[in-house]
Amino acid sequence: MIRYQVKKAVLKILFIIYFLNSFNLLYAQASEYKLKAVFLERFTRFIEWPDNSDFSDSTKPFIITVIGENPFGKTLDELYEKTKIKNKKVQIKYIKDIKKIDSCHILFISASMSNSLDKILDYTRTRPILTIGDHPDFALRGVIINFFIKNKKVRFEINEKSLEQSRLYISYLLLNAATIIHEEEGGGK
Amino acid sequence: MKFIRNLSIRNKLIIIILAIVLSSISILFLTFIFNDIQFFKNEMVSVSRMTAKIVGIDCVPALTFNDVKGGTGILKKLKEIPTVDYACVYDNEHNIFASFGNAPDTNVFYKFKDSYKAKFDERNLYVLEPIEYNGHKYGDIYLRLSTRKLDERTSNHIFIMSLIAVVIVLVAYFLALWLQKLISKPILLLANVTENISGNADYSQRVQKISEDEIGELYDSFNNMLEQIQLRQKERDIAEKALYESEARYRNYINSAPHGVFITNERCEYIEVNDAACIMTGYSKEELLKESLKTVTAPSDLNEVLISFGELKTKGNTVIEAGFITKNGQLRYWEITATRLSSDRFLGFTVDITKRREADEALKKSEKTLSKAQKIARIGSWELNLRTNQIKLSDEMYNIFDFDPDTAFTEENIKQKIYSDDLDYVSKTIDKIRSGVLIPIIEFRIKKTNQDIRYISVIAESVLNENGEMETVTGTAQDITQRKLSEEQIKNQNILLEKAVIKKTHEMEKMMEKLIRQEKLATIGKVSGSIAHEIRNPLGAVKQAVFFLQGKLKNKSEKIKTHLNIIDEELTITDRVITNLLEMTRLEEANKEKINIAELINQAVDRCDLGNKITLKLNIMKNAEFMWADPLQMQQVFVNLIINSSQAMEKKGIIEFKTIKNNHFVKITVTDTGHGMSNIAIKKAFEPLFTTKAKGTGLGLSICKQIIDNHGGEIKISSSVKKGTTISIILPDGAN
Repeated sequence: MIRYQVKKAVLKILFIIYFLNSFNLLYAQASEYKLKAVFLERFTRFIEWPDNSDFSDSTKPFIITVIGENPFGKTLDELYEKTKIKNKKVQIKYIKDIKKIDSCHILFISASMSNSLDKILDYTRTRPILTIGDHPDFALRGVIINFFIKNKKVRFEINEKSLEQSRLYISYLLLNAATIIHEEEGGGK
Repeated sequence: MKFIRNLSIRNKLIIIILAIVLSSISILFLTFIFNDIQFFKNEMVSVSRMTAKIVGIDCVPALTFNDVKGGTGILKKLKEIPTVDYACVYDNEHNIFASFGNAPDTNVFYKFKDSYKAKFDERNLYVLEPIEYNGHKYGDIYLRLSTRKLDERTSNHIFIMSLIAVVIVLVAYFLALWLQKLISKPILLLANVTENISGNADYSQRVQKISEDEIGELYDSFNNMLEQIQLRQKERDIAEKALYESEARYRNYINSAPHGVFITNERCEYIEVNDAACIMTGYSKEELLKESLKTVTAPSDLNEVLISFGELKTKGNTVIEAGFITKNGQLRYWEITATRLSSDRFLGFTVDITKRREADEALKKSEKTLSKAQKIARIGSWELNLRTNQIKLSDEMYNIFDFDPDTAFTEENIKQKIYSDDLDYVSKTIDKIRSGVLIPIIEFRIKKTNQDIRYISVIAESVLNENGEMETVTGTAQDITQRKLSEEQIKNQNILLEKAVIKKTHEMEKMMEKLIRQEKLATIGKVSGSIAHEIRNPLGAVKQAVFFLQGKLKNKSEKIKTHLNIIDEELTITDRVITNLLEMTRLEEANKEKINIAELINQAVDRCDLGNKITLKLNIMKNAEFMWADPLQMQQVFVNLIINSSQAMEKKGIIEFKTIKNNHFVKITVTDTGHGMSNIAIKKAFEPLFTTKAKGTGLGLSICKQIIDNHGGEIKISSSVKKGTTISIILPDGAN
């Protein structure tokens, strides 16, 4: 009986420890994506979109599309409800299907899209869409900006070739701040 | 300054040149250095700000993505710039984001007070710049730079410039030393010559001219001056010689002069006398030089002589006639003409005039006698020299012409006295005498100072010279006012008498006229009185008979009717004549009462039967509506006047009555537009039995005049032929 009780108590403690741990993890993940959500806007400060895509029309929204599983939760919606990007209202789209990418300015490619990344990039490569990845090898595979964590800090890398192809203009200041990926070094396309 | 003033010209010039060079260089170098420091500082500020901006922008991504390591890395690059001691990047909340260098500064934002202006202190330059990119502000960057390099650079410049200044001053000193000779040398030369001349008084020396500048001109002027001095000296020598000779000559003249010549001092003591003076006084020269002018003057004239001497002292010259006593006690008269030589030397010329004086005395005596005689006779005498225009007068002339003895007896002054109406006549007469025509007697008036008018008679007589020309005019003048006034009085009385006689004659003529009229009226009265009674009754019978016949013969021939009418009319006229005659002769005393004039005129008009051809106008003034008169008699007057007027107008016409009040009289005028009257008719209009009308009695106006006379009034006629006649009646206003 006592054993059972001890067992039960130990289990209880273990459960609590697990619960606490998982909570901690969840919390850490939440602050990371909050930072990434903020970074999306910060990137735009150093990037110019070509003018032919109705960019100068301020009534048209700035579109951020998240493809794959949404790691931001409600953060993006909350953050960009009031914040403007390039003096435009921000519209957030969540999609799973590649066909629904349509026209957008930023395409956040969730880690869950690792398998269909090439197809996505085939679609975006010739369009003025800033692709942002969230998976360690996405930069090498052709995503323009890719987040990574170093020394517990969110950092980002830039694929120079993809950038050149995208027709987007990126300030040298951003390049100075980022880790630059040359595709020859990696095994990507 | 005093020290410089006493230096030689050479040293003065050098000092002046060096002072100018030094001050110019100092100003120039100070300006340069100041400019340099400013320039270096500005340059350092702009470079530092630029550096801060560039580094700041480099830090933008680090700040954007919170990359402290990246930011620090960028700041570390500043170690390449040795002057940067400390650098720091702040975020927008002023928290330090990244820094570089030692000795960090605190309170940076407090120091700059939010203004981005570079600040210097003794050792450092502080720069704070905002970090901005694409319109976003990401934070601030702060730099502290050492000014060590700046100070080193400035000291270097000052050192080099001082070296240059020393070289320039040295060069300027040697140049000045060499060039000052251009000015100092000729002046020193001139000074040497001047010294020579003043030492030897030798004015024949000259300076050699070496240049054409101001100093050259100075040399010319100096030489010129020397020449002038030389010339003057020569002239002075000649003049001195001439003076000496002239003095000797003058002494000789004075001594041999026929008149007494002497010189006295201011106390009248003789200092110098000539021979003639000695002879005149009887003293020897030695004796006379011990005397004075006072001691030789006759005591009675001493005072006069002293006054004259006083005048000589103040005015500078004088003339006096006085008595003097000679050594042997004889009284002689001298005329002394004296002049002032200096403040204590007086020169006198003496002439003995004793003989002339005695003759003058005698003449004066005889003139006095004549003057007395003239005064008694009130006659003045005069003599005019036509050639010299000189006039001589006796004392009485002054009395006659009311001149005080000090006034000059000139033609101008005489003319001022002459009464303005006579001035022209007198001037012309004087001109005639001047031209040689003698006017033996002229009379004119003068006005005395007390405004009295006096009559003057002047008699003139010519005196011919040896050529038979009129040279002087002499004559007498006499006040004839008394005589003239008597004549005037008689003349005025004659005029008064004449006027009185004319007046009396006129009055008598009027009286005669009145008498004749009264006589006429009396005769008419007498005749008419007896005739009226005898004729009126038979006339009445005839008239009744005519009336009866007119009734009876109403339907008979027109001719009979006409004749009966003629008889009737003639009877009426005859009756009126008789009535008039009676009225005129039996005119009673006027019973005056207040009458409304307009009413009376209307009554008179009613009596006259004027018919349609006459328009009557009444123009009665408001204050002249009434008059005081006998109503019956006045009605008669108006009737007569209206009948006269209506008969004077053959066709249509206007009779206008007007009344005006004037002081104590009422004036009534009756104006018609008839044929008017001739002047003769006007004169005789009021005479009884005078008429111009075929059927008139000649009594109407005569009766009117009688009535108006009875009322104490006046009646007048004014008329012009073919225009009309106005009769004016003026009556006294009131019961009396």
